[in-house]
This record gives sequence, C-alpha cells and structure tokens, in this order.
Amino acid sequence: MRRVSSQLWVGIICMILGFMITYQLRYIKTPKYQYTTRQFENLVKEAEDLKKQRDELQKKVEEYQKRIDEIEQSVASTNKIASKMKEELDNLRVLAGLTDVEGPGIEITITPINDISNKQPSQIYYKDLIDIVNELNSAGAEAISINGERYVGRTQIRQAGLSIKINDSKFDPSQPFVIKAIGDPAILEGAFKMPDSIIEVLKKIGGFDIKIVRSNNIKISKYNKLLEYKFVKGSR
Amino acid sequence: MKFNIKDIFLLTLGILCGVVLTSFIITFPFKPTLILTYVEFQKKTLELTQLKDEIKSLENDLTLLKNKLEEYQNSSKVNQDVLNLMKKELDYVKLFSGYEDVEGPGLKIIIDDNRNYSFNDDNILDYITHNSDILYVIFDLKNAGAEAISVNGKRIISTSEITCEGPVIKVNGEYIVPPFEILAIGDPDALYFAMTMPESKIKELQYRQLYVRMTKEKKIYINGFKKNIIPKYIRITK
Repeated sequence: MRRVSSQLWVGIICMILGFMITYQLRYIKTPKYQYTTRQFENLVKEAEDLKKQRDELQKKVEEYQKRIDEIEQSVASTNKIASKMKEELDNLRVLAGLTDVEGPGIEITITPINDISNKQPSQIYYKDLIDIVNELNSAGAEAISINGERYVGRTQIRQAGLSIKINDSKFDPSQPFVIKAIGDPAILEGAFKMPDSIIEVLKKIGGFDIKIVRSNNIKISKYNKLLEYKFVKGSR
Repeated sequence: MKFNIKDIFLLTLGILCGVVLTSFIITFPFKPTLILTYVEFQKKTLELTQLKDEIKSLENDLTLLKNKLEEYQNSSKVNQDVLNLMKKELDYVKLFSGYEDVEGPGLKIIIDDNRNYSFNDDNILDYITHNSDILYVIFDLKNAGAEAISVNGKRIISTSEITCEGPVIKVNGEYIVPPFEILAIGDPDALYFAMTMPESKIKELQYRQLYVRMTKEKKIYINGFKKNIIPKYIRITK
C-alpha cells in the first residue's frame, strides 16, 4: 500500500515538474523586451516636447496661411480670374484630401485578439484594408482615413516586412486599426452587413473584435506627406 | 534512521520543485508589468514617429508658405505674382487629385477572360476577371510607385470604387467590360518588375490562364477624372 502511494506522489510531482518546465520554456520562448523606467520616462518627455513643437508649428502655419489668404483674397476681389482660380483651388483641395474635413460617418475599429483562447496569432492583412476601403468607396464615402492616414488617390497600402505600410507610415498588424469614413452613416454601415463583405468574413474567421460606430461628427485630417511626381507630366 | 533510495529521490524532487516554484514566484509578479510597459513602449514609439512625421510635414508647409509670403511681399506687381503662384498650386492640386490629363512613361496591361473553356469545367470561375482581381492589380501598381492609373479610361482617384455588378464591373460609377486595359504611369521597369513578382496578382491571373499582356511604354496618355463631384457630407474643419 505504501509503495503505491509513494509512487503516486512521485508521479504527481513529476507531472507538476513537467508542466512547470514546459511553461518556463514557453515563457522563455516568447520575446522579452526589457525597458527601464528611465528609458520610458525619456520617451514620454520626448513625446511631450515634440507635441509642443508641433503645436507651435501648427500655429505658425495657420498664421502664415491666414496672411496669404488675405493677400489672395484681396487680389481675388479685384481680379475675376483670380477669384475663379481660388474657388477651384479650394474645391479641389477638399476633394483631393488636402484639407482637414469633418462630417457624419462611421468609425470602424478592428482589434486583433491575441490571448490563450486563440490557436493561431490573429492579425490584419493589408488586403483586408484594401477591401474595406473599396467597400467604403462603393458606399459613397467622401473621405477615408486609416489610423489617421488620409486615403488619397496614390495611397499605398502594402506589406512591409512584419508591418503594414500606409502612406509610408508603418503600423503593427497585431494592433488595433481605426478606419474612419465620412458619408451617409446608414449606407456606409449597411455596406458591411452583406454576408460576403470583408467585415463579415473577418467575423467568421474569428480572432477580431470589430466595432462599427455611427457618428455625426467624424474628423479626418488632411494628407500630411509630400508626394513627388517624377514621371507624370500634365498634358494639354 | 534509514534512508532508502526512493526517499532521497523524493527529497531531491521536492527541493527541485521548491526551487522552480520560488523562481516562478520571483519572476511572475514582474511579468504583467513587463508586458504592459512593452505595449506602452510600442505605442509611445509609434506616437513619436507619427509626431516626427507631422512635424516634418509642418516644417515643409511652413517653408513653402514663408517663401510664398516673401514673394508676395517683395514683388511690385502683387497681382501678377499671386496669379502665377496660384496657377502653380492649382496645377499641383489638379495633378494630386487626378483631375488632370497626364502623360509619361509607364506600363500598359491588358487582361481578358479565358474563353477556351468547356461548360462542364469546374474551374470556370477562375477563367473570369473579377472586380477584386482588378482592385489588387491596381494596388500592386500603386504600391510599386505608379503615379497615375486608369482602367478602361476611368481614372483611379481617392473615391474610386471597383465593384462587381454581375456580369460587368463598375468603376467610378460607370460600367466596364473585358478586355480590361490598365494604364499606369511610373518607372516602367519598376512597375514591370513588381508585376512579375511571384506574389503579384498578375502572376495569379496568368496561373489561372487568363489572357494577360504587359508592355512597357515610353509614352502613355491617361485622361483625368471627368465627373464633377459635389461633396454632400464633408465640411472643412475650421
């Protein structure tokens, strides 16, 4: 009797040990990044400094824009061609994505869930984003942004190594993506209710937390990079 | 006292267990905070790069505006100068928005359905060009640096959609049918190279036995977006 119970004990302890060893191994296998608090503090401080710098720059840009607008306005008021040109310029800027805009629309948040319940890591693919943009456009969206990057005619959405590049900004595909669109909220949201739509497909695959929120005041900022044209020439 | 080998074995096991447990207890409480800081760290670095980008573009804006203002202020004939500058800006915005007819070197792609099929072929859907095929080819081109793209004469701009409407495809609200002619202006070699990469959409279409022909062109003409859009929902943020 004693023999059996001691063997049982050894067995249980071995099992516990085995479990711990595998756990430890798994724990070691997951990448560990150690950052000291000081490093983090430096980052926070740097971010604050940069924010201040940005705000100042924004103020300056606004001021200059205002003065230029005044001059242009004064010229436009006396010159018919100028006033027409100014009007066209303002209209085109809105359509092309070169102004900050707001209006009714929807905000889609896709959060990949990566916890123990998932068998495989969940992440967003650049093709999902392309599909979402295409469906928003077919539902009549007038302005779209992904994670704050304005979607314009030449916007690139592509895989760059482990990250997704949008307008040359890198994003981690396992982090949440926020897609904003301005247009008729009901139609924009309705476009994703079709059984074959990309959102429904993602829901079926699982591993994502998807929220679509309608709003009367979606804000989308302008395209904020400089695009070069090397090959294109205007023709007339 | 008499030790037998089993007791000693049990003892060492117990000690080992204890060591492992304590090492766990020591490392475990730190683990959650470590993960938290890592995520936060990542977020902060992302925020930093975004801020840096923003600052860069703002600085760019600022120098542009400064130059403009200086030109305005230093010129004796303000009217003419303002006009010229506005014209220049309008040209850029027109180019950017895709409202302007453009030309330049680039790539011409023709895609057509495979018409050599028998009716009892299971892969019949593979022989048809779908809207998603066109969509991904366009993004492959854009991602390879194409500066202007059109499909069957429909210019691709920020609001362009490519949808399936049963037997036809709709681009910019207008119907198009095969054969599809995709024009792209950019570096012809770079575009061609990107299209022949193993993971490109064109390769898949070729594998599906669709008719695909690509030619590098010295001069491609792409017409601008012609419809006049009047925004219904967007307002300029003040």
